[in-house]
Amino acid sequence: MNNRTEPAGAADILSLAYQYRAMTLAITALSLAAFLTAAAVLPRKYKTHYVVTIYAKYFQNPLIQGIVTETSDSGELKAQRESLIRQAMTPEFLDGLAEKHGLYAPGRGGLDLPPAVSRLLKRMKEAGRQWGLFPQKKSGNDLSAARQRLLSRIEVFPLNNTTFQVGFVDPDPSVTFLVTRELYNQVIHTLLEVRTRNLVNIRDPIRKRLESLAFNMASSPDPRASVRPQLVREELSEVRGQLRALTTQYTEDHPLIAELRDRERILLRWLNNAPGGGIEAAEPRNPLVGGESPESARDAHADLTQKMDYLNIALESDKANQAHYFALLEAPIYPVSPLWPKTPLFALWGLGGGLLASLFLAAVRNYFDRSRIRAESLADRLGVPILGALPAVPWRKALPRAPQGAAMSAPQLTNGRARP
Amino acid sequence: MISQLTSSSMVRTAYNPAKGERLKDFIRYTEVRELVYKIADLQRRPQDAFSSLAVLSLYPSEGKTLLCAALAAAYAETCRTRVLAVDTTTMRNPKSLSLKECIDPADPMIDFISLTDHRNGESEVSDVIHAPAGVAFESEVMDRGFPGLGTPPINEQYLVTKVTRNGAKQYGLVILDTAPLTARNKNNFDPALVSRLSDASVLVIGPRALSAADMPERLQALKDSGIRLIGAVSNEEFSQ
Repeated sequence: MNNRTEPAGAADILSLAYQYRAMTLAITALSLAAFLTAAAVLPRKYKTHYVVTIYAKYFQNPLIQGIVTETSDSGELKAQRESLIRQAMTPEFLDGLAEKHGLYAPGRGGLDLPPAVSRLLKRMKEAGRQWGLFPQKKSGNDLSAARQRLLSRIEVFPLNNTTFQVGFVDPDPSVTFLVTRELYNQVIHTLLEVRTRNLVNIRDPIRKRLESLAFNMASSPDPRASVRPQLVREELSEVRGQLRALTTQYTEDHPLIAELRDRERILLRWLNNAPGGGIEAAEPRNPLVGGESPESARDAHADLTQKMDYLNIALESDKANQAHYFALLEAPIYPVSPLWPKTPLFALWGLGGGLLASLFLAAVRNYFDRSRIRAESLADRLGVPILGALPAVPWRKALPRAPQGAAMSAPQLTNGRARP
Repeated sequence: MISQLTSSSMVRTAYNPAKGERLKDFIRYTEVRELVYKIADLQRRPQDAFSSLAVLSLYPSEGKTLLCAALAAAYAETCRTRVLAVDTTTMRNPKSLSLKECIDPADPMIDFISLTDHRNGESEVSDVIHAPAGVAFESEVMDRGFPGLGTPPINEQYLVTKVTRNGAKQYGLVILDTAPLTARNKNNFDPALVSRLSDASVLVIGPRALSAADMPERLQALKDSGIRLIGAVSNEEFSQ
């Protein structure tokens, strides 16, 4: 290459590579071999996933629109969906999964290092802890750390506002497939359970309110008290027994005691209204309803009864229509090829890296070659001209032939002697 | 005289036909012919005329023998005149090129002499050496005034001078292949002596010379040696 300062073009790079072709080929071949070896040696990772869509109607119910506030913001709904999916990964579920498939085993999901290297790393970490480079090891952190590692191998990311992809990575393809299926089942179970629990959480306070309203309504005696007062007395006796037991431990302000007191009052009321059901009433404490007129109490009771009915209907219909709230767009598939390492990719990296490294080394070598003393400078020092250069030819193979007519013919011989 | 010179007194053994053919290709299909043109051009100048040319190098395996062989063959072919190739080397690396291997004995335009073989009595006495060089020969040798020599080494000096003097009369060009200037083998013909006894010298500069740490000292010694250097030939791109 000539000594010049302008930037090298593609032709210069090619000529450089050709000039040091042996080195280029050797380094590229070595690099390719190294990367292919790494592809064969590195621990494999398999991944499989499923794609699920949670419809908007999961968060809606026409029957209870007046009771439950519905969200319409798409961003908020997306966040709720993702939250529900991640909510399924409870510590108990993770522990169960790990116990079933051995997911907490050392080296699972991480680098499978040789034992000597692992021991060395452990010693280095201990030394680091003594020098304060790492935090001290606390008891109980191991399980938490293992859960964290397992959780990091479960990938959840949204494809759009309603659709999510949930995947799992593991060195064993069978485990990957089975765990992904279990993740799907757990997510669906959690979604249904949360919806049911939300409805139940709304229904229970309404039921309690109904019972407290019924206490104040004289026109609505308990049918049982009129037909079988003995049943009411027995329940009353049972309630009073529970109260005696609980009051030894708790005060009257305790919610359970308050609830039992309300129940006692209701039962007494029914008995007093029932024929032949008279009984001494215990001292009423903390009346829940006070100062309401019977008409307003009846109106409230009717309204709440209607809402209660709607909630019960919603709960019942949910059991029958569970599949209408989500759709499985892509089921988990058994992974046949590893996610990592990919042999073609490694081969490409090996070739590319080898070429780059060899070109770099060729450039360095060329730089030092060019910076050497040249024959012209030596000739200058001697004060003589350069008469020419001996051409560099490959002596081990045929010389490149010149075009026809370019070569000078050999001297013609006459009687075995050259023509003078 | 010419017929005497073409007698079997010229010892040419161990010719390698493959190397000979490769050398012919080298001459025909590369730029080595340009070198011949320049040397022939220099030779024609009245003030620079020379009949004998010593090929020097500072270190071994720089390309001297290749240049000698190529120069001899190309000069004979180009200038249509006879050439005498003289090998003054002694010890040689077995992997190095030998002038004997490259000179085709069937080529009537090129004759070959190994001064070492002559000195060791391993070949028949050559006519070039045997023929008288003239009365003024002895005085010429003494007049050169070789530095540091009390009694000149007659054998080497005698042989070389006879070859160059007689060869100049009979050949268009006498090319002398020498040992490296840094060689320590005492059996070698002193390349500096050979060069001083030749009409002109050419220095082959190879990769080793360019990377030598003591290059400045060597160059200075070359300048001070009284050698008539007419040019240098670059062999940086070493042929493999």
